Amino acid sequence: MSKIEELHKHLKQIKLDWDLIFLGRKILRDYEEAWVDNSNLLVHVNYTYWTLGYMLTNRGAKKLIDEKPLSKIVPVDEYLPIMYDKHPNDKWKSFYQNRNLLAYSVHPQFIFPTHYTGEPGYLSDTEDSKVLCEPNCDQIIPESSNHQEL
Amino acid sequence: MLPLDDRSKLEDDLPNLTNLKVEIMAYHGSLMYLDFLQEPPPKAVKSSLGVDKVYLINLERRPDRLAKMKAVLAEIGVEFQLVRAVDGKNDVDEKFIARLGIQMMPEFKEPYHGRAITRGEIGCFMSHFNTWNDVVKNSYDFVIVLEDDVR
Repeated sequence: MSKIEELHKHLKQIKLDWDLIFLGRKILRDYEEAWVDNSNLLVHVNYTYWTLGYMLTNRGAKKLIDEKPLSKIVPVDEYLPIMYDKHPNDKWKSFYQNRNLLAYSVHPQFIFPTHYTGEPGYLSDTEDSKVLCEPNCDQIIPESSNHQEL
Repeated sequence: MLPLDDRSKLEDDLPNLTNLKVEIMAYHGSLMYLDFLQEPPPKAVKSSLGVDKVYLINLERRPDRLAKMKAVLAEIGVEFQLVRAVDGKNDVDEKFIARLGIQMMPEFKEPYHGRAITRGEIGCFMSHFNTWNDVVKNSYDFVIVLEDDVR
């Protein structure tokens, strides 16, 4: 992970203004992602699915809190792309006001998932749990599970 | 491990060896050293990678993952702060949701199964949210946030 130190140096060199840099993530489709100017290490991010790790600035943390996401909660893997304004669902985006998180990703990734969905050993901590129902309903219904994680 | 070529020095092999060890540890946890190795390999110098804090989010009921991540991070010399993940199965209930004023986004449906948000996903969100709050509270400039299933 001395790669991280390399990244620090690089960020200073290219004077990039940033809030969040993905160190590892899973991209759902093979989106074209443009290189950041003067960089051979960073790309602009498109919709990203499944966050593994990221570097965050104080300003970035503030932006993520100040949006008051608990009152309109979505999974964090959807929240981040909404906040850097690259979420494909415009309806979802419309619930959030300040979608100005400056997000980038290292390329190639520094970290990887230990297991991908469906691979032997894959176990999700979140997908296999109970579903929360609509805000005004006072009862939490179990997920009618037609699919089973390992 | 790829053998060194003519231009490489012996020291160049150390990061290669570390990477290989980390790769193995990510799946099997700590490695043991054979008795006949008189001198244990040098320990990595601890650092926070030039950021104010490295957070590792771990679910308490997944000590297996924590053990592996601990082994890997020790191997590469990364100091970290453990964040006890909010557990959807044990921590997130009606009271928890009411106390924090959590409300679902009205339009949200998970794309694959069309289901609503799960308690696990709420727990996961809260784990990150608490981490962001810690960053602001402590006025940290830069941090790294890691989940416990990475290598």
